[in-house]
Amino acid sequence: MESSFLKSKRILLVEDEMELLKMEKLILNEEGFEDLVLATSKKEGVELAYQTRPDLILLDVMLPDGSGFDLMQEIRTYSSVPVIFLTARDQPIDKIDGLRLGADDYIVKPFLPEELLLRIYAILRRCYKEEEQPLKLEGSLLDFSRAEVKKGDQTIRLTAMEYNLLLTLSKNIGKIVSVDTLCEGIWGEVPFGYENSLNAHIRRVREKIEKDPSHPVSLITLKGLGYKLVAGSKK
Amino acid sequence: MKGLGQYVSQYLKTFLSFIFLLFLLNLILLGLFIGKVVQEEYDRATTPTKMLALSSQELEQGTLSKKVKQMLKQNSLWIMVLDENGHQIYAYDLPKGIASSYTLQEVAVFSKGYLNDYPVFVQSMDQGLLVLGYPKESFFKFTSNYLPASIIRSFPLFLLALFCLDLLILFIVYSVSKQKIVKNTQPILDGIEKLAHGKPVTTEAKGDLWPIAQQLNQASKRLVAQNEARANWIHGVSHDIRTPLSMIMGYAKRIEKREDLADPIKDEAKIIAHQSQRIKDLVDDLNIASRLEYDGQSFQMKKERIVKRVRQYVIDWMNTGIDPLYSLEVNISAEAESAELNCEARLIERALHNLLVNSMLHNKQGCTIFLDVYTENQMVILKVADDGIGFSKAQLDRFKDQASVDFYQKQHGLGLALVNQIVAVHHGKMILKNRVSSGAEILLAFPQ
Repeated sequence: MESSFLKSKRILLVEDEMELLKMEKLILNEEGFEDLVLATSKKEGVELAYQTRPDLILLDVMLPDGSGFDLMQEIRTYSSVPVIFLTARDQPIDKIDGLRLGADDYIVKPFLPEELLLRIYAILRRCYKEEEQPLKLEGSLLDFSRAEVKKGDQTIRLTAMEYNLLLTLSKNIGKIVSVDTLCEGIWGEVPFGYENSLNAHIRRVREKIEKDPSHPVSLITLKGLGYKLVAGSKK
Repeated sequence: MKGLGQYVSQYLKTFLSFIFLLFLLNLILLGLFIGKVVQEEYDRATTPTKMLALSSQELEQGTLSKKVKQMLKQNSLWIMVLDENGHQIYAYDLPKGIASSYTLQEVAVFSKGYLNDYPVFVQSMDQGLLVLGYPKESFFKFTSNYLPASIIRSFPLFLLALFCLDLLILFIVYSVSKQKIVKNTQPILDGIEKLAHGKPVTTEAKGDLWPIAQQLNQASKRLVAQNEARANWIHGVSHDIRTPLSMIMGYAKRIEKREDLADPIKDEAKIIAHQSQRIKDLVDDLNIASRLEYDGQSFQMKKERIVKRVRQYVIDWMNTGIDPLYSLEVNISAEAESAELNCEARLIERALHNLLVNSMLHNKQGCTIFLDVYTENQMVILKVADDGIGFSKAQLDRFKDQASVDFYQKQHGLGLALVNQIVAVHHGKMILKNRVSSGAEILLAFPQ
């Protein structure tokens, strides 16, 4: 489902538990991430991070020769590479420590493979802008580079707001995006009360992308929660 | 503290009653004693009154009888009679040094007191003045036995005033000592109260209560240390479980999804994955419960638009993929959209998580879960209901009975107990009931 652009990113895994490291590698490999660098100690992590310049670091907090927080601080002296902490420590104070030092996310063990992938994709999408590929939907084709929708013979232009809306949804394709996230994507940090405006935009987007806007199949409403963009079936 | 004041009042009331009774007892004893002395004196044959009457009667008739003379002799009494010029006209058994003639002044002086240190008593008779003498130091005579009439008249008033003054003094002493006792014991009582609620105390007390304060502080330190040890232990165990559990969950999920394996194997992997998820929930609950129980200070309460957090939580939960046996219907009211709660959102999310998991756990055949968020009477209500089997009557009864520990331990593990704890931390309320149609309904009400 995810683009090969994101899967081509180099990920450094730092974990002292060999079995768990092996499993992480397995999960990522199977997902299609081929460029993995493995380290089992803080020292190794520091060296490999410097030599291989990864695009994302998955970092255990407790390492035999130091803490993951220290490791990140050393890397931060020359790089702002995104870091996800993977840890068994779960007290809130730890979370604050990690995030204050500039971690991008924090996963508490035990975790499901899906959760790990979800977080990795989320961070990668946020940090690395992909050259927008046209996105195929059930009744139309979204061309983000031109801000256009191709439906049948028609080519319809997207307004800036519609573009933002569809971009946010497409970055989470197949997943529900909350109305709050969508509103913030369009209007920035707003308190609330923009749901009605959002509804209006959604309606207009549907008219542009759906074959039958009153029975949407690509842009689905999840009542009370948000919206989901569904990719078209491959032919 | 009201209890102490009452206790002290009670104590002092008893004490004052006791003093009053003691006073009364003294009064009675004194009365009895005086009564007895007076009675004895009255019973004696040789009292001045009786002797004077007897002697004067006999002397007026002639002379003293043998019997009276014997009485006088035996008791070392003596008698003389003075005529109207002060000359002795009769004497019996006079001690040495008693003159035979007296001036008017001398008579006036001794008639009220002593004659040559002999206490004397006088009585007028036909022949003159009868003087009866007693041995030295056998009587104390009051030589100035008079009181002004004003004093006698105002005496009852004086007594009343004295009584009132006494009462006032007693009341002041009572108030001061009560205040003092309360003031001295208050820090100790506060400390005990805090300790009873499991909070650490540092009690400072001076004087006699110092050792008690020290022991209280000691107990508090012990309690804190024990709580810390317990929290650390829970934290340590949960920490160590997490890494192996990650692998169990990860590999079970992989096996579950492998297409080259037979279905029974994948089904078993699914069970392992599902049960590992339960252990993960338990470990998370245990950690949060331990934090709520032993580390009440560590919350980061913040004003949050709660709907946003709830919605995101549910979305994340659905995005990781839920079993198709279950579906979720969400209803959020317009008022709830803007409602802000002073809360730790992570805890509210956890409560929601536990309610969702609870519905799924008890309805293995699948069900629809309804999540409603709305406001009512200044409260934000988070309602999770399902159309499953619902609670049994016994379960509901146990929950109503606030010995709810029993309810949680026997039926629902840590999950609902933790929800209750989280709600309590936010000063909210948790209500369990069955839906009218079918299924369970749990309502969490948080004050805005």
